[in-house]
Amino acid sequence: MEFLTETFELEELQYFFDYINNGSVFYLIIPFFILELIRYAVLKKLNWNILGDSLANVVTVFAFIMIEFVLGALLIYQLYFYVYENISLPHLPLNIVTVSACILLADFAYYWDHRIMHRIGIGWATHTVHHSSPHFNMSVAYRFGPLDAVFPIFFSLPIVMLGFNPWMLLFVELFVQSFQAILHTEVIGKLPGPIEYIFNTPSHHRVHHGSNEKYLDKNYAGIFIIWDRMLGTFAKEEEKVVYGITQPLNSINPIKVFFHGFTRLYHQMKSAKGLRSKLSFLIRPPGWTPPAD
Amino acid sequence: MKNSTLLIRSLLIIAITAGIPHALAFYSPSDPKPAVNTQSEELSVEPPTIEQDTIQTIWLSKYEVTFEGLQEKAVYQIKKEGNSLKCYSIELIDALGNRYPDSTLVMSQIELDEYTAKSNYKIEYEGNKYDVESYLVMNEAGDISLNYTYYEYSGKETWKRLY
Repeated sequence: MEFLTETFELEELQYFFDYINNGSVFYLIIPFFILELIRYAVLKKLNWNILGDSLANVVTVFAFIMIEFVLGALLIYQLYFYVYENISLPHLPLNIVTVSACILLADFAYYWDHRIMHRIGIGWATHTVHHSSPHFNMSVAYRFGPLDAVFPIFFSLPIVMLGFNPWMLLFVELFVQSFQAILHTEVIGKLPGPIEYIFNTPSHHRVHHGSNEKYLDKNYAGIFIIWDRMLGTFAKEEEKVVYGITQPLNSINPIKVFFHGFTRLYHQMKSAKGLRSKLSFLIRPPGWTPPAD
Repeated sequence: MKNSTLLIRSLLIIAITAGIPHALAFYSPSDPKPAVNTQSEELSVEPPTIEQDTIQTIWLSKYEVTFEGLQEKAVYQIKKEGNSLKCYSIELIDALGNRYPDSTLVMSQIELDEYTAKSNYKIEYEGNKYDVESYLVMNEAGDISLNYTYYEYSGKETWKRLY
């Protein structure tokens, strides 16, 4: 059992996760997306809307990366290390057990971050971007909103406080995102039972992207669907999924796509009477309306 | 599902998942990596004695490191992970005094003999990385002087203890 506690260095971990997190874009995501385009063509579904939508997705990811980069340089980097050095439990060594626990915790944090983004107005204003595509393919995985990088900070910091190395956590968080990316496909049907029971799969994630009444606010998981099963938000893929949001965006303009959540939130707040009602839109669930006077 | 159920289940998940690696680190007899020969393997399964613990505690601290001939500085921290001591660079300070957070392992296993110690020191020079055997001596004030020699090149550093 010595291998469980055998320590390794951060550089080894970085090399391993780089291969998965960054490398997978080239050896998995892009080839798979090309396969999906071929599938659309074979099914005679390939049209300018799908291509324009995919292009808008790519534009949003670049905008997201820019925001993430600025945030990382100014805040996350400093904050994570300040917390790690000053208000954390004893630092954990880098070994297989620690990395495995970090993956579980980062995935659990992702679950709650994701759930909160769906259930409060300010969260939905940014996350609705990801859900606003009426299509479901690999490019949708990279369709991000302006503040999608901000919310995870609040859920990651407690993991740093538990003694997990911030760099390791960062690699693992990217790993959770990379795993999530490959779920955005209609090409893969249901997988064998045990896999569907434990892991998040394309089938489970199609449900998450559904605007069908029975699929709303379900399957928030990143890697492990067990979190949804344990916390009462699981739904099986049964009826045909209608992708998108309940109030469709009907646009492939990247700027409109990127900011539409905040535009809608702004209009809701503007039309509300009284400061309390206006602010309530920030923390109330999407669809909430102020009580009549 | 009730909010209280959500809270309890979530806390349990976090406590169990974070508790396992902490328990393992706490009860782990030793960092097995340096145990490359039979003799050290035998030593590594021995639980640490109180005396060993006391000696280790003396070294646990943050240190401001000045490098001979350089204006740049760094802050190192000697930490206990499992039962072994490691040293990390946690902050880099440029010539103008600007500070940048860092998290680089510079010594993966420090072998103590009371107030002296030795360890492989990971240094980087002109883009190349080297593992150099280094010797550390702690003075009465708790500061450390470090010496290493690598072929014809030798280096000296002063680690000033930060309280």
